[in-house]
Amino acid sequence: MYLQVKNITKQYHHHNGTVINALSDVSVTIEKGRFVTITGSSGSGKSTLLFILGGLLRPSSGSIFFNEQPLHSAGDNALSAFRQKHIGYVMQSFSLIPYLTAEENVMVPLSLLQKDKKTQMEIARELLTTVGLSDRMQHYPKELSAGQQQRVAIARALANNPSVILADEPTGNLDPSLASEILTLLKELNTKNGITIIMVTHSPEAAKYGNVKIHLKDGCVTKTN
Amino acid sequence: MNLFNLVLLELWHRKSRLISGLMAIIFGIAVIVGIRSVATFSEKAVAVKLDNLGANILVLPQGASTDDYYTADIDAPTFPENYVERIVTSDLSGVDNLSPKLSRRVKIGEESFVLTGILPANEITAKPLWQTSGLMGAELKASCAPSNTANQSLGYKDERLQRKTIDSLAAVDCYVGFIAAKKLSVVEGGKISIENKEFNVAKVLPETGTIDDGRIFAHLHTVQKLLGIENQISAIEIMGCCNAISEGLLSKMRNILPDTRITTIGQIVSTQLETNKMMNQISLIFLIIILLVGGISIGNYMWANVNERKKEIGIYRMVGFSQSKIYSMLLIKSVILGFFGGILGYIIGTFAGIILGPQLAGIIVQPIAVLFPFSILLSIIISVIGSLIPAYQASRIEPYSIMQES
Repeated sequence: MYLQVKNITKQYHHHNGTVINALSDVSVTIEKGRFVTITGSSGSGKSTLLFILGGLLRPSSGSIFFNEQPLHSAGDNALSAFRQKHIGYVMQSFSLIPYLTAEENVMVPLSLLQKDKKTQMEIARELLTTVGLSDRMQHYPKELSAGQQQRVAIARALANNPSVILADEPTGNLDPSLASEILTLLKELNTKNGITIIMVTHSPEAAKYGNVKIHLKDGCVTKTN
Repeated sequence: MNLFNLVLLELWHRKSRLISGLMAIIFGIAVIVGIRSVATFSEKAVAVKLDNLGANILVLPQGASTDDYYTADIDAPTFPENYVERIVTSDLSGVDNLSPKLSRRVKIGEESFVLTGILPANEITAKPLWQTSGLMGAELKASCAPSNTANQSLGYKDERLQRKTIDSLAAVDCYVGFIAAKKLSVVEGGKISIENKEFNVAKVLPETGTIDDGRIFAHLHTVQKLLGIENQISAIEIMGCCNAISEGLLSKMRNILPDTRITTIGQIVSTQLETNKMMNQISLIFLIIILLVGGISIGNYMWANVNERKKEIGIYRMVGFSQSKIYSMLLIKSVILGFFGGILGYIIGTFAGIILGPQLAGIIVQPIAVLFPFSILLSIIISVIGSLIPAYQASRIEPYSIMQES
């Protein structure tokens, strides 16, 4: 057991008084080193589950454990430290800081560690080389293609040497060939580096990369294999 | 890379908005520095002008009437002349000159006059109105700050620079006031008899419009002998610096001369105090306005900045920045804004004072160094206070909502 959610519900309270059940009594256990895909239609609760797994969102009820450590009762500092040490994020919209170069974007998570600037730069350059962007280090996001921006995001996700990468529709803004490149890169990180990948996707093609598949419908897990 | 670098990069990225955000605080600090600069030099100018009015402290024996400052010494009881020495040998600052006097009413023919015994040099220095009358002598040394040289450099018209004193007043000489001379029908070089002693009229004093026009002045020691009250005086006139008086000179003198009555010209001191008070009040009013306007302006800028950067803040939160780190980033930014706002505000305010001071207030204004750290500190305080709520709001941004929106 590595990452586990037990009987999780998540409700959103709309300002007009209505309550939306994004997740209802969801229980999932994710073993270390797996490539997990979470599929489902829009509004099925995929992203909500991903954010809860990543410590970005607290469940309304239920429990979440990482290596048997409870996250559902952790304070902001503890959750932030958890995200910084163990989780890397790759988002559909790349989520890069526009006024930082590719290298500086990768250095952002490293700025939280007690590492000098030279070490931070060395790590950032190594990671950008790994994702094939050795010639784009000093480029700003707007100067990069969508595929290159997503590679920078992956390099940033790897900066703190995380054990889990959470990817929310990482290929949603990419054309099929670029999508394939990114998925291949994630698969390599999973198989070669042993990083656990949890990926939310709409795409059946992308879902094929996973070895654990979770399907959600109306906030409930309908299928796991 | 650290938080400070990230803040600087963000500020540099949004330069134009940074300038508009800084405007209010720069001009706010500039206004305060400008007003304080002009006010400080105005206070000095007023102090010099008030000091130029002449003697403003009167030491009288206990029991003397002080109904009228200008006639209080006439027929007053007496006290020892060596009281002058007590003041001279004390370490009191702000005492410009001492003028011991003995005044009594005397009859000359059918008319009554006031005969005042003076120590000439001292008496003259305490009467600036006489200074323009061409009396001969050396320039006085004034202890009131600022010094004459400083006053000249600041462009103040300090009449003390023109003051002259007489070297001596012979035992048989006297000065006759303008009205007294008319009544006695005497002219310079003539003679008058007082209490059976003949005096040479050394000078008829020009009209001053004061009680002194009716007086006859002779050497103090001559008058003491003539009236049979040797080594006694009825008053000591002192030219005290107005600033020193407002800072408690009178009470210090009362400690030295406990058995005397020490009074001052209330209007002069109160004018000085009122001037200082008014300047301080104006500065305080502007300070409050700037605190409010500057704080609100910076708060508004930061609020807009936080709203504009919601996604960015969400990204920082996503990669592991805690709420306190986000809060710190915003406060570091507000300190940087305040720091540069304070520097620019001081420079603009000082230049405004230097340029506008002579034109609007007729005084020369110079840079006041102590306002520099004050400007920076005040600017940082305003900026930080104005940023507290937006920074708190920024720290409360939940990354998942921003991620979902994007």
